[in-house]
Parts: sequence; C-alpha cells; structure tokens
Amino acid sequence: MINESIKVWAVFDSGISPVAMNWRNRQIKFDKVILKTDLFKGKAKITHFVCTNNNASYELEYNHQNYLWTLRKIMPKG
Amino acid sequence: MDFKENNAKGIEHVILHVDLDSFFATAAQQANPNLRQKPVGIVKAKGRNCIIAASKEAKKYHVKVGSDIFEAKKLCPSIILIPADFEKYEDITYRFIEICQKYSPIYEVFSLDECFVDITDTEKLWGNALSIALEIQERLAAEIGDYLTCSVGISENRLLAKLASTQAKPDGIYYLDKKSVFEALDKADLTDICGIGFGLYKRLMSIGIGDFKTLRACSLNFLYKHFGPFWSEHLYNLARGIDNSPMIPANKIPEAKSVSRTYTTHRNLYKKEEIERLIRNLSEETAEKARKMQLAGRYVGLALRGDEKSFYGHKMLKTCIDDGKMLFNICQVIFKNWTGKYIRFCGVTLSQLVKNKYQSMPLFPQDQRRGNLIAAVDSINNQFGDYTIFPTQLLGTEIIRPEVTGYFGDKKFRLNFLRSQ
Repeated sequence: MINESIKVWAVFDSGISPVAMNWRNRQIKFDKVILKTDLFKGKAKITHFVCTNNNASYELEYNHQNYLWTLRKIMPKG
Repeated sequence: MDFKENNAKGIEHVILHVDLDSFFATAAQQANPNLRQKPVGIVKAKGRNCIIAASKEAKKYHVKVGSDIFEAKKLCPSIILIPADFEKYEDITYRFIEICQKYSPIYEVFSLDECFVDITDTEKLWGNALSIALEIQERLAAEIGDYLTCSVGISENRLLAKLASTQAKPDGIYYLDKKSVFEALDKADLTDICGIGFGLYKRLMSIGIGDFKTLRACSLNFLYKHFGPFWSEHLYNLARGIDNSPMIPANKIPEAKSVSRTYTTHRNLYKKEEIERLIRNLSEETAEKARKMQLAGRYVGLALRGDEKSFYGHKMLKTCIDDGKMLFNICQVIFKNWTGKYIRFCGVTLSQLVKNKYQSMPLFPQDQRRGNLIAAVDSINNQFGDYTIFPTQLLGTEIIRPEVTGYFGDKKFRLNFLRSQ
C-alpha cells in the first residue's frame, strides 16, 4: 500500500474518469479505467478507481468531500 | 429454441435468475489484472483458513467454497490467496442490481451475487427473454467490469430458473422448458436445489432417497409420514419442478424479525475479558443496526462455540431495548452460565422487534440523558464513520466493523437504508 496524495487529471462528465496522475514528480497516463466502486466513510463518499496502462494497474481513491486524490497501490504488470 | 413459441404454449411466468460467476474471486481479478487466468482463492481476511470463494481456474483443481487453505494448496499449489474486500463486492452488487431492475420492477435480490427478475409483463419491451439475458451480460461487462461474467437461467419459476442458471455456468444462458424439467432435475444432486439443506438431505438419505428420480417415485402419503405436512408437500413439489413461492421484490422485503451479528475469531479466545470485549463489540453493532432500522427488541440471545460444546443462552425482557450497553449487560448475565474453556465463534441476537416509535417515552431523567447520549454518538458516527466514537471497553482492541455477508441476510437493511445515504 502506498497511500500518498497525488494530483490527478480527470474528466468530470456523467461520472469521473481519471486520465493521468502526477506522483513523485512523474506523470503517468492511464489507458483505461477497469473498475470503479463507491464506498462511504460516514457521510463522505469515496470512489475507488483501478486504472491501467501498459506498465501497471493503479488503484486511486477520490474523496468527494475534500476533493483529494490518493494513490493506494500500484500493481505492476506480469 | 424459440422463446415466443414456448411462451405462446402457455408458460405463465418468465423468470430470469442472474448469477454472477465466482463473484468474489472474479471481482478480485477485475481489480487486479495480474490475477486473471490464475487460480485465486478468497479468504475472509489475512490469517484466515477458510476459502470463501474460488476463481474459475481454482475450481478446475476442485477447490471449493468452504475448503481450508491447506486442502486448497494441496489441490492447487499455485493458488493465490487474497483477503476479501466486502465494500467492493457490496458496491458491485448494487450496480448489478441496478442493471437487473431496468428490465422489470419485479426483481428479487436473492443474495450478494444473485438476482431473480420476473419479466413476464416486460419481456416484449426488449424482444424476448434471450435478448434481455444477453443485454444483462453485455451491460455487466460494459458498465461494471469486462472480466465479470454472469450466468442466466430462464424458466417459469424461481426454482427452475435457478436450476437453469447452474446449467449455464460459466457465462452462459440456459432456457429450461417444461419438457426438460425432469431431465434437468435428474441430472442435479439433491443439494443443488435451493430448499434442500444438509439436515433435510441427511434425512432423505436415511430413508434411501438419494436423487430426484427416487424422490418423485415417493407418494405424498409416504413423504407425509416421514417429513410432516410442510416438508412433504415441499419435497413433492420440488421433485416435479413446481415452485409456487412468490417473488419478494426489493421494495417489499418484510421487516426484519431479528437483528444479529456473528463473528468467527482468528484464534481461540480463552480469557473471559477478551470474550466479553468481543461480546461488547458485537452488541454495539447489533444495537446500532436495530436503531438504524428504527427497531428495538426484547429478546436477547448469545451464542458461543469453541470446544465440542455449543452454548446458547437467551433472556426475554419486559421492555424493548436498542442500546448496545444494555444489550451487552444482558449478554454478560447470560455469559455467566457458559462453562466452556475457549470460544471460536460468538453471536449476539436481538429479536421480538417492534418499531421504536411505539415504545413508551423514558420516565426518568437519567434514561432521557442516556437516549440523548446515544443519539449524539450515532450522529457523530454517521457523519464520520462507524466507531469514530466507541466504548472505552474496546480501547486497544482491533474493532470488528460491520460487513456485508455473502447471502445478504440483512438485505432489507442494506437495500433500503445504506443505498439511500
């Protein structure tokens, strides 16, 4: 588990779609969102995303209450 | 097969049974592509010994739900064990239900990964049952996850639709018509059918009934003699694929008759204080759940299992309660009668429930204060999350938090309350 704050570029349209993130001064682009799940911590809605690119899958968390993004874990491919 | 033709020939109802294939394991594979095409076993948490779900790949090695991890590793040395993520499964279930309910207002959430949909009146809006089944499968992949699959059984009642979906596994569609019912039943084991549990199966076996063919050959009188009025009729109908039980739509689930929380521990608990802390934890959750459902109860039950002896004690109170501390105090009194050496399982039950608005107002100021305190704690916990404020007795322990169960036993609570947050 990484659990670090990150900056994310996302499209907020009919839902939220993360496009890329900045983690430890590295820009990582995502190809696809493969899973999106919501959970509640009290009244705060948290959305989990699993995003992939050629190198790895990334689990991100978005807190709808404070608008913060967190990188939870990286699952390298292979 | 021609669905329209079959419908015209007199099927009164058209029921779909939609079943997510190897749900927990496939959800884990959906979330982590590295696990795909690999044998995966889901355990409740790290350090747990029991497999609660197995992936399609693990099932090929005969790893089953309920296998212990040593047995599973023996059968499949390359199995990857993953702790369950119930919050993820619960959200996927809600999304799955949202898909199913689009096709009919009459749908029954049967468990975390199964849903019945009565499309008798809505079938024609989508063409036919087959096109609905295909669309559900496509939407599941497109809207939730492309690795998730479901099997769809189509037939004229719940019993047969469920039987049909087992024939369709994995990722298939199976239509079971009237002509093929006996054939399908005769291929199935008695325990494959919902409604024949282990106890009933043992009794059937003890009188030489080991399959549906033999069961069908028994007269109603014979079954009555051995199983009494209810089960004889039930078994007689099961053997013929007759199921007149009505659907229980999600918006018509009856009020809960009891609220409970059970927990199997990681290790044996020997110390009285440890066991009491566990009882307190479960009492708090049980009472909080009752309060969220605006219910209060006056029957308190405590179940403990450890060494060979199982213990169950209960108390009937004069007034209804919904306070975790009071529930614990009563469980503590019951616990005094326990004589075992250690426990591995604990369950707290509150039943004989009534709507708490029908309770009399507190007469004494201290009772009023207690009620206000509980309301304040609930309000904080609702705002910031479960157990933000918790009893000091649980300080320093790993708090057991609410979680969804596979069979969705508390679906009334989950579907009507939690989703509305």
